[in-house]
Amino acid sequence: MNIRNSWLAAAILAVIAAPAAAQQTITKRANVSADATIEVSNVQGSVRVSAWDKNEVELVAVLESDKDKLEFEATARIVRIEVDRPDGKYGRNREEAHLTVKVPRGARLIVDTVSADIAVAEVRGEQDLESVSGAVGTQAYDAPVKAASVSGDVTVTGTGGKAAVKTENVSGTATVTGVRGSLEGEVVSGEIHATIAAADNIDVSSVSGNITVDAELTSTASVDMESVSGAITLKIKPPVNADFDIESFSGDIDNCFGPKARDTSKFTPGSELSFTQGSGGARIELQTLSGEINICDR
Amino acid sequence: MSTLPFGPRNPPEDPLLAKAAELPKDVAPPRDLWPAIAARIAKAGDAPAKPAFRWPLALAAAFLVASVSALMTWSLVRDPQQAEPAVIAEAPTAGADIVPVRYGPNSGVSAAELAARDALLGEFKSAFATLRPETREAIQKNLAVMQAAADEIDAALAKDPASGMLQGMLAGTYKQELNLYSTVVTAGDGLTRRT
Repeated sequence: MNIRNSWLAAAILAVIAAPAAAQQTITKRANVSADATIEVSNVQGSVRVSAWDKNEVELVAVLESDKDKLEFEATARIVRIEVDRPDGKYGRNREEAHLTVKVPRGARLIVDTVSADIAVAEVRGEQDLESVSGAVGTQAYDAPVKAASVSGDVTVTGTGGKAAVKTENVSGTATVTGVRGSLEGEVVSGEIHATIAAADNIDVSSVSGNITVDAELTSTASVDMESVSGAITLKIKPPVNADFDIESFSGDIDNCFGPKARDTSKFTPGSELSFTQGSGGARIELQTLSGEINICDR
Repeated sequence: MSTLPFGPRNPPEDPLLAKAAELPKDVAPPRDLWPAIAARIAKAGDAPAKPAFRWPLALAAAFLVASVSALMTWSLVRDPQQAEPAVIAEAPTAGADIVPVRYGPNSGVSAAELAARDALLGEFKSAFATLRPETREAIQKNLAVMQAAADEIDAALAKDPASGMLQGMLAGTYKQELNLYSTVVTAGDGLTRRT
């Protein structure tokens, strides 16, 4: 390598190394109870939480900005982790903070971010995860899970336990798979795609986004699905024993069970369809203003 | 796609621009570089022929230029003396662009409900201005989606004022609007939001 190339290589290395010089890596640990509450707050970057078989919390924080401050407060019952951006500004400032946290398996988890993705694995306690523009992904066991994002996607994967899952999106997509128990979901223009086993309660709504649910219903299940202009598709695993009550102001109603929808009035374009399939029992209520409704058992 | 206007209306009042105006218009090199350049050009004419184009060097040079550019941008953004005025100048304009959902005459949304919404809206506008541009854009698009839904429901209520289904949908749209504002306002508040 000649002298000119050596200078070039040195200049490249200097450019690469410059941002790294401001980066902080901080590790914190605390002993906690097995069901401690762990609260994590971050503005920009990521939060990754995983569970381990220790009554201990371990945090590894990588702060790209030397102005960000890390707060770590711990008692046996509560651990509070927060990245404090002193000027309170984010958005234009692209420096991120990446938090990797290990918590006891039974911990209760509260994570709150602005532009940071949230990824949680194997945490069996109650979870409340919320981001403005980050993606949120977690697993559901037996405890309630709430996962929300304004413009990011939300993904909840069931693991066989009976959980109450709640999702909230504005423009992101909520994908819930393999969950047993109940689902509540709200979305504006994003979509909801869900597969629920042994469902005893499904309550989902959208403004303009489409909703698609594959469900196996218990004999006393309650299903409410509503959209203003989005399409609703409900596929029920046979045998179907349910009472249907379906209404749309101007959207089409299609089903593969046989009965046809009838007009609600001579003066409005509305149609409705009420019938009992099998021996009945489960209650299914679907409503749209202009979105299509489609129900079937296959 | 809509463009969000931002920045000061009157540039001389902006401290960042005022500092920029104070910078020298041109910078003289520390010494006269031309004689050395001319000598090297003349010497190059005598040198043996080289490969026409060296890709690795060109790529490295391109990378260097991009990196230096990125570093300069990073340094400017990182420096609070430079960055703060830009963000502060942007904030009120970005929040001012927010238009809440307007509920039509058939909606039945009460004045008290609208007043409660508007109280939350003030806090939302402050928080909204600090979000990333792409997030602000997504929020504005979804407010437009909610507005379209509110209009559609209102038109339907004009035809069927007693419809419980339509009234429920309107209440749902109002709730979604409040949820959106609330989520942005409380973002980053952590445990204090929930206790």
